[in-house]
Amino acid sequence: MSSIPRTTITLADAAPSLAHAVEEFQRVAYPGRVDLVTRELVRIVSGTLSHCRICRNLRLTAAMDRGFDESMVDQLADLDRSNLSGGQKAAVSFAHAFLLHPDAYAPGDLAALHAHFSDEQIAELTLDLIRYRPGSKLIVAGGTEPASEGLVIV
Amino acid sequence: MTVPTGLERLAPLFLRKPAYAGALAAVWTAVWDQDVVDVATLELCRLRVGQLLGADPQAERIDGDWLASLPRWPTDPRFDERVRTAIEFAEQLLMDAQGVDDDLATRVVREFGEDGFLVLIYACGLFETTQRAQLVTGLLPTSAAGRTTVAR
Repeated sequence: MSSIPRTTITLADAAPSLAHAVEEFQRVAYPGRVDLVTRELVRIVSGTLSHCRICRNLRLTAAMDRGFDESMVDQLADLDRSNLSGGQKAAVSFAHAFLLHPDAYAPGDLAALHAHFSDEQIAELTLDLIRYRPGSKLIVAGGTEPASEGLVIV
Repeated sequence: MTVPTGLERLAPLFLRKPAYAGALAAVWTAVWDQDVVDVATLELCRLRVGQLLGADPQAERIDGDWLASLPRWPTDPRFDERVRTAIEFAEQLLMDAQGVDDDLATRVVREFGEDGFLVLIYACGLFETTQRAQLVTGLLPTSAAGRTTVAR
């Protein structure tokens, strides 16, 4: 791990077309069919499991405006005892399975997710999870993480 | 909607979220089209990440016999120092990006330049998440009103 940048350039400098496509990938992600608070929780889980300080401490104002609050983040550590909604718990469990043991994902797990989300919404959550981690890796391995654990609201 | 080579198993995503998945396809294509890191090295990284995830990856851009040699990359003479560095980097990024130490980062930059260092990080992250997605989306239904074409 390094908190000292290992390069003085960005992905846009290194591969402009790739960086442009990544920006477009981010742009078309919103709005979606899954509520923004649930997507924010999934994004934070991804950032946490990717050991990315920026990713786990970033907060979207749009999600906060729709009911996201910090107590929800605290509850992610003990999902079974949390006050999160059934859909939020299912989405977070899906994120854990995706990022920790996707090979063990079983039809029963998918059925539990389907109890709360449509096929389109599950596809959206999956694409979110595909999108988040490569950016987290750039920050962590590139050594551009901030030293502070402070929240960043955008 | 055309699904690019390598993402065929994600066809359910293209059926359900065509615009969002189409943007993923554009990123995927840009990874392979950039001219900083060669395709063969990227393909070996993709395959190794897939092997470690248990995703049963198939060689699409290099001869298939490389697949069997890949687990022995540290000692197999088919792999030169540059490729070994890339695969070591891909493995470490998959296991824990925080574990990329200064020595490994320096060796990657020496072999691929700073631009290659960044391209490899992003590409390996994408190889990881797309293959994780293949494992979970294999369970998703593939029937839908729309049609999906698989590129070859």
